[in-house]
Amino acid sequence: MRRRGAVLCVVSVICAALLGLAGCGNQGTEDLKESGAVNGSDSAKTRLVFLRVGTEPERKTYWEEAIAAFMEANPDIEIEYQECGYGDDFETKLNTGFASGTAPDVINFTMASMGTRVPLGQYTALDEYVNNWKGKDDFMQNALSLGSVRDSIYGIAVFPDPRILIYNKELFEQAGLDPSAPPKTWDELMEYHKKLVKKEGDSVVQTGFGIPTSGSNMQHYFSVFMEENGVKNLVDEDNNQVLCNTAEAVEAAEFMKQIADEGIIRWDSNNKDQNPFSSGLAAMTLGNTSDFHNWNQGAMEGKIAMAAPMTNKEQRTFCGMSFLFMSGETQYKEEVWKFIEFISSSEQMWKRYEDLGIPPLRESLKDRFIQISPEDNEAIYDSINYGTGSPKVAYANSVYNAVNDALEKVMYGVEDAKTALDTAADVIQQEIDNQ
Amino acid sequence: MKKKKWEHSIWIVGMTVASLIMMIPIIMMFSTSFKTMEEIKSPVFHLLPEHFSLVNYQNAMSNGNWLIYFRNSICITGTAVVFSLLFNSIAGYAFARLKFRGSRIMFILLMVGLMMPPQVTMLPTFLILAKFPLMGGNNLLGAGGTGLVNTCAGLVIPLISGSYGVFMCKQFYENFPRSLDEAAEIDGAGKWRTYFMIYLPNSKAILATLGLLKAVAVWNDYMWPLVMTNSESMKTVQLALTMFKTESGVQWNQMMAAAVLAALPMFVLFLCAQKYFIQGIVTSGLK
Amino acid sequence: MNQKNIAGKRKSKSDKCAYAMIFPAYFTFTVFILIPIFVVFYYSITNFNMYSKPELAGLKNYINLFGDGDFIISIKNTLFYTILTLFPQLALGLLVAIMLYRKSRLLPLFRTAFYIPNVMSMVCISMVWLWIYDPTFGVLNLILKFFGCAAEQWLQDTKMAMPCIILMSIWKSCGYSMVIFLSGLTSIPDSLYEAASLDGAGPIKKFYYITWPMLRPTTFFLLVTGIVNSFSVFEQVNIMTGGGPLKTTTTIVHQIYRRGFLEFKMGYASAMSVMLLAFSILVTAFVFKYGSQGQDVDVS
Repeated sequence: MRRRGAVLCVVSVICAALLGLAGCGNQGTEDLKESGAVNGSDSAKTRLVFLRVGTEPERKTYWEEAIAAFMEANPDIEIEYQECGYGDDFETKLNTGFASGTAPDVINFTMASMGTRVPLGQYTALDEYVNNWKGKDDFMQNALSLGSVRDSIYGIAVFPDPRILIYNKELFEQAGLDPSAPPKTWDELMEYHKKLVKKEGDSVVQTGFGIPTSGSNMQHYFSVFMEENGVKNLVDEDNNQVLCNTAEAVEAAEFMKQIADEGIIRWDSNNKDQNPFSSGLAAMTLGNTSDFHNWNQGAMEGKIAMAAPMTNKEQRTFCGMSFLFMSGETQYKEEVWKFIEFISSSEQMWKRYEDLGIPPLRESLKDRFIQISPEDNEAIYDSINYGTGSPKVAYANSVYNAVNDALEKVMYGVEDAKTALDTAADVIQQEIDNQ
Repeated sequence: MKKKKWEHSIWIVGMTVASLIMMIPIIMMFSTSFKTMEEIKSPVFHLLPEHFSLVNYQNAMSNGNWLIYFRNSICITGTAVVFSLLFNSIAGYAFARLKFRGSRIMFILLMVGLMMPPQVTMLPTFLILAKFPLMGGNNLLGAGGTGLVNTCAGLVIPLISGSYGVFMCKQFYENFPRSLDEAAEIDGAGKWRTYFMIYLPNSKAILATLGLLKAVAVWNDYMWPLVMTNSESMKTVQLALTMFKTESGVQWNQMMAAAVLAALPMFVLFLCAQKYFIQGIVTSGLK
Repeated sequence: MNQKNIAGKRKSKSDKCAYAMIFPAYFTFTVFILIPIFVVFYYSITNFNMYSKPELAGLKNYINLFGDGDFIISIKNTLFYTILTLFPQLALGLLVAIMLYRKSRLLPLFRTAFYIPNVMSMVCISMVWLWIYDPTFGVLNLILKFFGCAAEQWLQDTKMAMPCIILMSIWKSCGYSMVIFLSGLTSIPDSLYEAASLDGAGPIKKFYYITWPMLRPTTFFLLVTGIVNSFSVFEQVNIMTGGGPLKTTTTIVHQIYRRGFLEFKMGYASAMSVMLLAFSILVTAFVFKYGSQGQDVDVS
């Protein structure tokens, strides 16, 4: 009796498992068939795989609508949409894709990725397409040049991501500051910051300027101050020269440290949620347009505003940007370019503004864009026009790591700005020598 | 008798307090899944939400095709658990009870495999699957196609392998009374029959424990499905959870709602498995 | 002598079926774990960067390791983490398992409470704990304030960050030890306790002379897997602190991941992996040698 029970048990479990695998396997074979169809040269439809960075539902909706519109206009092309979160995940995904020959055909990714991936041949140069492109002259010049490495264009900008000074008007008023006059210079920023810091005993309960003290995005905040102080980039891409320890850059790091010394709420730049600005505990911070949209909801709605880029030596800011890239391994270059062209059209650009609040990048749309909200949008447009961006060098990730380490040391007061940034520069120099 | 009752009350109070402390983060998670974003962002913290509403669950589930995600996860977890339990327990029995040439060195190699963190071997494993011969358009040498990438088989098969389970089963079977073997030998049962008739029916406790651990590991795995799958139709629950985490912030309430739902199957599984942990299998075998 | 011969004959008799029995598990293990390990060995002596063909670089990667300050810090951190996570977690797990090894209707409830953290995904749990540690409105600081203590910086504090991660890890994994200990406890025959009761032994004596020695194989198992797991701690570090502040929480696998997957120095990262493996083997071998004495407790 017991034996029979045991045998029955084993048999049923195995059956269940086989059924499970079969149910699962069906799908696998379907996929195989699909990919088989792609490999076959006689198939009527060209199938492209598009991978974009990020997983926000709003942007996903945008992409799905755009892809549907594109496929309607080009019935011979089929696009499969894929997505993956920002940061390490995305890098891993691309790395394994390229390592195994299963990389997507079109990629939406950050500017910084160009540095490492262009030398590896993972992105295709788009010059021959761009030169015959009608939209070229209308496209914002700075956006085009940000998408190029050594005079060749590799990426067409989709989502500009300028870092803007965002401030809380309510907190300004409470501290007796004019909510319509945000700081324009470093001196003013420091003055405002001092007035806005509130302490209870030793602990800071409200700070003026929300600035992170650790994490792997510190370089963005540093870049803003560095560029305002006249240093264009962390590394001079053309001459492979380290710029992050120049006198101006050191001054920028020292300024960040001075802000910290006046009293800040510490947070980790890896987790934007920790930014005290988002909970009304900081009166100013740096963020991008989607941060602004995010914060301008709920309790803070209508209480926050954007300011034009600040200046110490130059009026500039750091402008990140995400691009469309053509994979170096794709077999369907013409089709990929068609898709890129479609996404970069005026109509799609304006749709991105209306749906997602993404600033347009065409001169012909500038006036229309600024008219909608003169104060804020002028500042945004300026930021994109002034912004430089991340170093597009093969060792970019090592640069970030070194600079972030240095900034952490500065913010925690372990080393002074000069020593820390010199150490970082040595590390970067070693990377340059290893190339 | 009186002393015993008194002791029992202390036990109940003590364990309740300890359990509550353990549960604080879980309670926070649960209550957040009912809150509005505004309440989450406000500087004042309440353990319980101001007003309960299921709207987060609704919104979270209407974002994306969760039926498919759950189906995929259940499919993958089920297959991986059943096969790994079967394979591991047989192998564990062989290592624990049978004497064969090379068993020692083979077991040591198995232990070495246990020590390599999965992040390290991920890339080579992935390349092996991508270059798998005769699959996904590959030729005999493994070139040409995409191999087992983005297939269910490619996702599941590596998950079946695990030195951990073999090790655990070996430890468990070593604790079995040898008298059971002797009895089987007297009956004239071979090794296979001994395993299937005596060991397997008596391994409910280890199978429940190991099955639960394996299920939890596979269910919660993030890195491997991320690398292995591309299409929406292959997405697992853990991958889908990241859609609430965007560059400019996290949709905490929806994410926690989805996370609660994602943890539910494992929770149920635990409730089902836990009663087996207490069954005194070995003693019952002796009686 | 004669007996040995018989044993020898039996050995050869059971040979074949043992190989068949371990085949399915060993095959998948070889293809998906063992071969990749050898591939990692190979990468470690090349300059592999994930795309171009690897070129042999000899022992250069290994030599560079010793000059890498971050790697040395990460070893220190990993050891610190292992020692402070493993032992408290084992002790706590054992304590709870013993407390819960009795009859009561509330039992499933308590067991569930202790085990639930282990069922949740690390990604999710890490994010919840980020809140708990939040310096401005985290629960931990609220509690401190309630008792009139000064608020702490937790994860932003160079001294506190690692202990914070350790606390969270103990919380998450003590349920796991509890379950394994529980299944170990069930395999102890009741007759032993009954006999001890007849001899008039108290609970402490019973624990010392019966429970503890009988749990040797379980403890040994937990120790080995615990060491291995702690050596490869990665996920919570990556999510909660990213190795910071000031590298106080970076661990070996975190370094491997950063170097390999983000800086594309796969060869160098592989050398780190080999070092980690060698170190793990050393420690485990030590534990095996020392701990296996108790393995063959005679039950009968």
